[in-house]
Amino acid sequence: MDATICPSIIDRTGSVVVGQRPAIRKALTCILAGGHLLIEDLPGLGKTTLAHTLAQVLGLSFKRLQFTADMLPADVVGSSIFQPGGASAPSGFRFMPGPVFTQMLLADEINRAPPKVQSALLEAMEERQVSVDGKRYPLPAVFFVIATQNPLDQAGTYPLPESQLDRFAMVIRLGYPDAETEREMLLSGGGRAHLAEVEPIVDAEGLQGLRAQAARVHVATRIAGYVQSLLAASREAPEFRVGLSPRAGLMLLNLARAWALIDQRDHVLPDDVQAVLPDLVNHRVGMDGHDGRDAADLLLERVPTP
Amino acid sequence: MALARLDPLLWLVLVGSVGLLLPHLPWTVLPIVIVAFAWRRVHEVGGLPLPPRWMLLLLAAASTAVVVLHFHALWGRDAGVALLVVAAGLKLLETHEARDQYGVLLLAFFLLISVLLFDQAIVIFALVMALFWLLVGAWMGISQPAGPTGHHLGQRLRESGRLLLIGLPFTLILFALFPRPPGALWGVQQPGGQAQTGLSEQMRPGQFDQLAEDPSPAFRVRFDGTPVAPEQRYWRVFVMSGFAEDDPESWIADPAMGSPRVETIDESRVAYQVTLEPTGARQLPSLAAAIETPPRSRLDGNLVVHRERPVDDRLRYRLTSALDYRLDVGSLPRFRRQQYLALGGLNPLLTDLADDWRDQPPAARIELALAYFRDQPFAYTRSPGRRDGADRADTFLFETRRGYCADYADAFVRLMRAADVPARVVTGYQGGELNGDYLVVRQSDAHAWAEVWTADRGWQRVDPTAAVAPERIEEGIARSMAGDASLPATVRREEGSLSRQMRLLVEQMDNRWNQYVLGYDGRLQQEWLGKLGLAMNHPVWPALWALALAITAWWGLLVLLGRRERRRQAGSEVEYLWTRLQDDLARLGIHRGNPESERALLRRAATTLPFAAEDLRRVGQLLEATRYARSPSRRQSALLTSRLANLHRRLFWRSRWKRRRS
Repeated sequence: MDATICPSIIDRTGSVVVGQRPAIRKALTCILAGGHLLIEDLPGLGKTTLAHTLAQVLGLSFKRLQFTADMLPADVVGSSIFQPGGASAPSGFRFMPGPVFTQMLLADEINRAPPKVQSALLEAMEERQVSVDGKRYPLPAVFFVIATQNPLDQAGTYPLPESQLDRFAMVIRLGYPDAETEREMLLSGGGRAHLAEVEPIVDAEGLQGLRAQAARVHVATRIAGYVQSLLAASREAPEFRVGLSPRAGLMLLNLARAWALIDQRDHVLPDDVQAVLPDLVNHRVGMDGHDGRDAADLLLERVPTP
Repeated sequence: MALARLDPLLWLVLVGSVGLLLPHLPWTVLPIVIVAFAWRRVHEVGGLPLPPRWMLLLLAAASTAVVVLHFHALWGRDAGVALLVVAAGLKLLETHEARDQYGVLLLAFFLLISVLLFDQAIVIFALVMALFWLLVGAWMGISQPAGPTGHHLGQRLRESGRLLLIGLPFTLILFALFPRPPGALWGVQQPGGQAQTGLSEQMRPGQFDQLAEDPSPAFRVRFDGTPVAPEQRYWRVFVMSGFAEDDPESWIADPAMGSPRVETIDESRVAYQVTLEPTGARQLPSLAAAIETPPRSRLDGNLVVHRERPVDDRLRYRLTSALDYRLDVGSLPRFRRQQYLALGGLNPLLTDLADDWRDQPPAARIELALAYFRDQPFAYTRSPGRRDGADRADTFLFETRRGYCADYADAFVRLMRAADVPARVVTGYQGGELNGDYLVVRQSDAHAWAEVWTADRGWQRVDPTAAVAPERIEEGIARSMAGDASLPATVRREEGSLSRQMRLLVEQMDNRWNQYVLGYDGRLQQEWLGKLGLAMNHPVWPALWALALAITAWWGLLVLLGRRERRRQAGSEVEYLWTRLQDDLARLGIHRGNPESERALLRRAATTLPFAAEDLRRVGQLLEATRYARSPSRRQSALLTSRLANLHRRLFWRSRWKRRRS
């Protein structure tokens, strides 16, 4: 699979999810980097459409899971159920896979579920497998979660702890579309109407190939040094509650690689690191607004760009 | 990169400089050059393939042979320039790629300069400078074929003009102050060069007729005080008393011998400065009796100023002369007397006439001869008709009675000798035209007169032409010949005409050019510096030189060390060059803020500096490739180094100017 396909993936997704090209690109970056994405925004801004369209364009199986306050972990991962025996099989417990067994999972309003459910999902995201009754069930090779959460000040929410937010490669916001796009959308009745017509461009196998290609994008020592300086600076910054973990650093590099691949480059530039940094760093370090600048701005200003 | 067409400016310069050299090329190399140029042109327009290598080799060998056969040498100015022209033509035929143009470019520089080896007149100089301007433009186009300046001739010419203007003050300062050897800088001596026009050591019949048509300046004179009166302007060059061995009708100049036995009258002294065009001879024109001679020259017994070496360059010298003098008063040595009485031919009629005067005193014989010229119907003309054969003087005196100055001088001296009065012919120039503050003496002012010797007065000048055509002496050749339509208008000098005024103006400019630019030698330099109170022997000079040297050395050392230090700090050549380029950009107002990446900086710079956008883009690509790509090639890194250096050169002065203006 050729990296030149990336722009057409973005184009086709953008034809349904209008006015959200930057978000689409970030989502694709996450997928290529093997990370998961959290979209933090108000309801009705197209989070679901984005996830669904991307799954369709990438030719992935798609499941949607609406989180509620009364959910149990089994509702996510699945459970063993006793099956009476028959001619074909003896009776016994059989594992019924939950909605998590899919290639793309939309975990809607993840912060409405109690922490136990949240951590069950996050474990699955991290381990890429599910353990039920002491037995391990692997998730598909391509497994990608787009979680959404409503702004935390809304009623009935359980905020995700920072340690768990760390599992998401990026946290992005969609924001409102601009006036022109919104007018067009109102006239055309929204993108979701065309969702069924969207043809896939790649399949799971092709996506694997692209991921492998992204992993091979060259990172020069200069870039590694830059990333390390950024990590170190995040740990020294008095404004941050926590510094960036080495895992965040690895993720940053992977995201930068994927970002470079979308630009059809086989090496990472400082510009790639800078492009993906804000969505990676802002939710991890726990800093409230600071003179209108966010955590990434602060870091980039303090670390000399190579 | 294959080259479709030679840079148009390069074409222009090649054609222009070869055109300027054309009069100095042997005709034998012309076909080769024309064929080469035409072949190239047809190749570019019609796609005719360039000749194969063996044919080029053959052509090169053939043209070298042609040059050697023509000049019997490969060295020296003429042969060298001919070879250079041929080489340029052949190089055109093996210019396949864009970078091959550099060879042609280099040759074009040499060709252009070699034009000045032949001729340094102001017009030629201006043309060469114009071509030089085009050539620098061509250079820019060739070195940046893809750049924005690669195609826009106007922009290239503006840029190249700007460069030349920037260089101008340095050129002028160096021209004025750089220490020079004495002698003209451009004097390229050509042993056995082209034939010199002008007077020669032999006075042949008809020689002066041709000179009358030549309006080119022979020399120019600036008097310290008021110029001497027209009838005193007899510029002495050769004194002739003997005849050529092979031709008793031709006078031949006396060799320089002895020193003058002369008394001068101090009140009649005049001092003047002569700028002599090259003559190839040793004699320097002088007025009456020279007293103080210029260095490396001496005065012989005939009052002729001789120089040690022939005048192959334009020469400037100062002289002081006494207009009133007595030479060889009292007696002449016997052998001298015989020499001055020898008759070169038979001329029986002339001898008969002179015999009648023998019983008169010498002074009366002179008067009688002059009266003969005055009273008989003699005509002063350039076209005297038949005057060859034996007894030429008889034919002239008794048959045709038409002649030019040389005929009168010749006949008069023979008459005097026949009448037993020692006499000799003097050739030189008579008259001259005042132009501004100096006198121009032209080849057409060439003149011949006589000197006769009497015991009480010594040698005295007698001009028989004055007896026939007094206006020739008082008003010059121009007025006396104004009716002669066969003379060029430049010689006839019609009074008050616009073309004459123009010509005088051009002539003045030419003189200034010769005097102050071409003739700017070590002596003139000292003179000028002396006027500024800074003569070379002024004690302040050694100190100044030492100071300048020390400052230069110190400054150079600082620059060198600073550069080395910055290079060391930067870590590598590329890093150093990149920092330097960033400094240039910062001077142009494009500062790099911290989070800004190099790529973003260069993009921003490209929008601010559209003329360098292409270069900036390439530098950005190469910079990324060498820093971040998996396996940067050595070639890319070398390319980056040269591009960075180029871009720095392009931005350097722009950034410095901008800063000063803001």
